[in-house]
Amino acid sequence: MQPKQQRLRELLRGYRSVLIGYSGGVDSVFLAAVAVEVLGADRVLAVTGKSDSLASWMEDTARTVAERVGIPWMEVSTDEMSDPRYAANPGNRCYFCKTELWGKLARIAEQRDLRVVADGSNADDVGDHRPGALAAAEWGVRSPLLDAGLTKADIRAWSRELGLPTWDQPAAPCLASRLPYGLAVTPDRLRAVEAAELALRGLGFRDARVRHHGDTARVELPLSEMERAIAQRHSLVSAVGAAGFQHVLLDLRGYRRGALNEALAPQQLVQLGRSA
Amino acid sequence: MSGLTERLARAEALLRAHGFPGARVRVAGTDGDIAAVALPAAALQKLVGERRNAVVEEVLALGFRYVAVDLAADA
Repeated sequence: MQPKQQRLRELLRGYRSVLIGYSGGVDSVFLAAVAVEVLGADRVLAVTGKSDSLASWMEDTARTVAERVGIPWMEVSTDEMSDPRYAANPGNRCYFCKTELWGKLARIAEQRDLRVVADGSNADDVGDHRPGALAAAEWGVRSPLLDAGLTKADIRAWSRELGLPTWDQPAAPCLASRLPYGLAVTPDRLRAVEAAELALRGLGFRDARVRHHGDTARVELPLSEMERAIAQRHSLVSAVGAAGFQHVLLDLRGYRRGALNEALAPQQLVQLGRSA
Repeated sequence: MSGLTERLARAEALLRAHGFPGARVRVAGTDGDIAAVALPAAALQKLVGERRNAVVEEVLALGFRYVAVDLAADA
């Protein structure tokens, strides 16, 4: 990993100053921490876009980690929910959200004389359906982790060396990703998903995804936790039911990253590295 | 693919063939694309264990996008 580390430091030094789109997830926390190490805190600003699609625990992580690590941080409200093209939840929903986010972040960067806006996309994101990457490209957002060839495993390993508390944090895409395309994104539905997942975490299911299908919750769990889910099914049903679902289903295929993209036709897929 | 009633009947038949005589399958979800399996409590571990792969493959082949077990159905 040495050459990749060196490459990332070189890239960041070349930026001279940077605003980082910072969700509180593994990648952006790591990027912000290395940026502070390379450029100094007065040349880095991490900004979290706050809306109903950001889980509260992610917002808390974003804030507390920034404080602990010494990353200059601020939060800005984003208003994607009032864009009907976003709320209708099309297959390229992320494009509209990220257009709103990067537009706001680019303005902040300009006001504060930060030369580059960067995100935490990494080498493993190449090939996934990522319409948000198109918006990032349109706003000139750089992806230094990807450019340095760092994979998720590299980032976790290096985060651990740096003592970042996020090193083993589960992947945490925004809450709207739990709604099948075409089911309108509303604050109530996002809150139901968040409450259900939080309740499942309380039962020790740390990596649960609650997919929202109207009155039905389809729960995806790692296959290694399926047996326990059956054993504890009554607690699971009350936990998820209390969040507002009438039916609680356990998906037999288990947790799959990007599972709702399975409903999209190939021509609807936007892949990082091809679109950008 | 054939009509929904027939697909549900076929899903129940294949579950019977896998040793789940009491299985009931209904359709769930806003898009009607989830096969929701209800089973007697005693059979649930077998479904998520040794039979999981085969059942998933065969039910999805009937034209459902998801196959899931109804966690409250045995109550």
